Amino acid sequence: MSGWRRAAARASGLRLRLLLAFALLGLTTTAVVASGSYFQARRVILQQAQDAAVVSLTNELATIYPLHKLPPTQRDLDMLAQRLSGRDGYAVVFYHDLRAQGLTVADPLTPELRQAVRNGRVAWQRVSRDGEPVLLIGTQLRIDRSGGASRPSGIEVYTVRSLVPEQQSIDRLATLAWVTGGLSLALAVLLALLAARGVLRPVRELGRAAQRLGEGDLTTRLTVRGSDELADVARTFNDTAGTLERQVGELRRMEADARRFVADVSHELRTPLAAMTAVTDVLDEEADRLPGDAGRAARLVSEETQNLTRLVNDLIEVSRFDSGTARLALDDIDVAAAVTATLRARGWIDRVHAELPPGIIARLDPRRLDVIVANLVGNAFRHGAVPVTVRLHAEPDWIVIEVADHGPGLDPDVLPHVFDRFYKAETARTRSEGSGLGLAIAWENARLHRSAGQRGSLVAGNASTGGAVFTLRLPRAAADQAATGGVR
Amino acid sequence: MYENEENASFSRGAILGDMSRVLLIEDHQTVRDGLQLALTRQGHTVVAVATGEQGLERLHAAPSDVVILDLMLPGMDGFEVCRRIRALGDLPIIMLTARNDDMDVVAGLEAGADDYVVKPVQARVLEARIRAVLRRTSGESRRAGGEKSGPEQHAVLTIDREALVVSKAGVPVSLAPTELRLLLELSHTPGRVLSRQQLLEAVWEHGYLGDSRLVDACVQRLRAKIEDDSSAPVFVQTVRGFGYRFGPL
Amino acid sequence: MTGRRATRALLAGGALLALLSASCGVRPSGVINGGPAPVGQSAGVGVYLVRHGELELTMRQSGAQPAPAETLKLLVAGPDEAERDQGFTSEVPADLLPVAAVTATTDPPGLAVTMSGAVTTLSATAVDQIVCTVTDAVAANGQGAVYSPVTLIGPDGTRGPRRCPIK
Repeated sequence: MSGWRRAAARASGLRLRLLLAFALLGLTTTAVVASGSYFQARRVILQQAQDAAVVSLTNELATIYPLHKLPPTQRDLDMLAQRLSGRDGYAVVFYHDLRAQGLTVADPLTPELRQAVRNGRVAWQRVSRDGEPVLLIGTQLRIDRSGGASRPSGIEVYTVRSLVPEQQSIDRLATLAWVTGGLSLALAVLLALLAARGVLRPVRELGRAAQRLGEGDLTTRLTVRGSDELADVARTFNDTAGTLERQVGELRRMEADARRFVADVSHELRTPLAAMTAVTDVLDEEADRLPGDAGRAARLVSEETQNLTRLVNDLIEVSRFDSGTARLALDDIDVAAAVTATLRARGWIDRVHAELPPGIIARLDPRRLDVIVANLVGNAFRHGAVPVTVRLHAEPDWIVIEVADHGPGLDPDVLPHVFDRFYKAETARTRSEGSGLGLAIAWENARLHRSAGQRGSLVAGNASTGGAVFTLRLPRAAADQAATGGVR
Repeated sequence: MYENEENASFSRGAILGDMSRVLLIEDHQTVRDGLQLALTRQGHTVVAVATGEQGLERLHAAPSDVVILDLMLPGMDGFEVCRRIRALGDLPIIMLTARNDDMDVVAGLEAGADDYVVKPVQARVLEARIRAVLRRTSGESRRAGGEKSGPEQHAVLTIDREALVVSKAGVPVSLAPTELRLLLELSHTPGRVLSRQQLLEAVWEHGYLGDSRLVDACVQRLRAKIEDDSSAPVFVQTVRGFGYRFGPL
Repeated sequence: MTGRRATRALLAGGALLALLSASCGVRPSGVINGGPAPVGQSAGVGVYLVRHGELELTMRQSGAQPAPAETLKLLVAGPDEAERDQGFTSEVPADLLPVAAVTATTDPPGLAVTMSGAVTTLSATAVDQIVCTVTDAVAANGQGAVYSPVTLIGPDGTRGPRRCPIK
């Protein structure tokens, strides 16, 4: 789960980064281009409007000359103002403190503009009047004196022209810029998503393939598309997987050969052992009557034949686990009765402290349960110390059997290896009843029991009070089936 | 003879009151010799042959009480031999299986074997199985005898515990000894569920942890003989999760 | 790491956007100076009077351009009624008349006006009135430059030479 989540976070992280990079790039480019052209267009629009207005005003003023009378009367000023006012705006005419009448709107003229006009220049200024942009153009009327000289007439003419149409044009430009920006941002995001998909899909495929490979599917291969870096990675992955598959196949073949060899040897040993085992009883019976060394020799042969038989049987059992041919012969049993039977059959019933609540029914393989319990208890007697305790308890879906002894417990170095085959915990292991496979077989037997994808388990540990504890957990499939079963 | 002198002291086969005649079919000579030696010492009369064909020939020539049959035989294999012996009559058959292979065991039981042992086997284990099988053939019964007399009637099924005869609608049914014992055991307490392990102990005299497939295979054979429709049994019913019971009718 | 970088990028983008939206539309500007104010012909006779202490050009209607000396007579006559109403005055005494035509001098190059009365006692404003009116009248007649210095000659001496201070 965390792995998946991590993988998702990684993918989205890369996607997010690509997305951000593209969006930022698109945004920046659009902003620079759009704002550049916007400012340029705005400058051109305003300049053209201003220049046109100035030219128009100067042309208008040219028609006023020649001036006939100075100082002008109020009527002169009014007429002049009226003549200069038009569709685009109105005119304000001053003669010193005399001013054209008939203006109702507030005078937007700024002192700095008037100063510039008094200095003898045509001057203009954009101001905001009630939130509306307004262009003010002002000039003196001068009177020509020959030789390039002129004298101020004292008349100042201003036109007040609304820039709302220009503002509207510029606003349209701005809207266009925003729309363009938005579109290009959307396009950038779209491109980013496509690019991210293009990059991420092979990456995701690679991740999935690597996971499958990690899970053991060595036949996993990627489809190599194109010839970019990702294709190189895919090719390398395929080569690696191929090499891995070959090598693992080789190893598996060798291991299978080795296991088959062990299985074959064990089977071959069975026939002579069958003959020998058949007569061990005869040897045992006769040994008492044979004199001295002959009797001891007979007993020795009998005993070792039995040990050898046990070893060969264990080897065959193990090879059946390895080859996957081990099958469960399930039956519904009373677990306590089964454990008791195991202990009684081996004469341990009086030597073991057993806590076996009756009535716990489970569906499992009784023979394998017998093997497990016998191995655990036998192991406790061999390596631990009395008292040996066998405890059974039931969980809703599991039965748990604990076998504990009061010996020194398991060495921490030994603990990970107790279920290894032929693991020699004691360097000078006594050649005793154990074949060295007992716990390994018990472990395999426990794992053979499955229920709903969960396996039985056998775990070794140490009790807090000292002594080794082996905990067997087996699924209790029978309880469920008994509940739903009925008379057929 | 040496053998006869020792006979009384350790031949537990004596409790049968008679020496049993054992036919041993085993192709490996050393195994054959070893088993013959051991079983002979237990007081049985052992006839050992190497092939299935020889074994069948031998059965036609002289009667046997029990057959020990190796499954891995040259020529006619053990399963086929088993089927042919079963076709001849109700002679008890104990299989010798070299591999503790589930498929072999199941196939052998389906072929009609009464019990099986896994090689290598100690003589006393095999001896115990032989005795258990033979007890089923004899009139001696630990549970089913005594209390009741006369034939019992269970619907169309008539069971005579003393004469060890079962008939269905008046027609005698030929049952192998293990099948008969199983039927007697189940019908002794009609309606009561017996677990496979209980049946293994009672009929096969195995220790508690016997192979429950013995019971299942025997139940199948028994049903084939006494039920009208063995896929919808009336007499021997399965109680899932528990075992088998006789009836209720 | 990535988060901080992304945050920085977002902040930069946000600042850019704010900048863009803030400079939208038509912004008020400062005063922009264009070319010189328009200049045109006048159809009258220019006379410099005083208003609020400042020299001021007035224009009298006339059919033809009179000689400079005639123009000086108009100045000496002072503001008419309409001009007086608008606050025009003159500091040139009403008895001060040109006694001869305006003449050109060569050393220094300029104009000379001979007056009938005293010139040394004239106020500076009165001198400027005369100088400006004379130079305009001379220029209007095409006889000299507007920037020519003017010397006033009276019985009591001379004033100047002086240029018209009005540009």
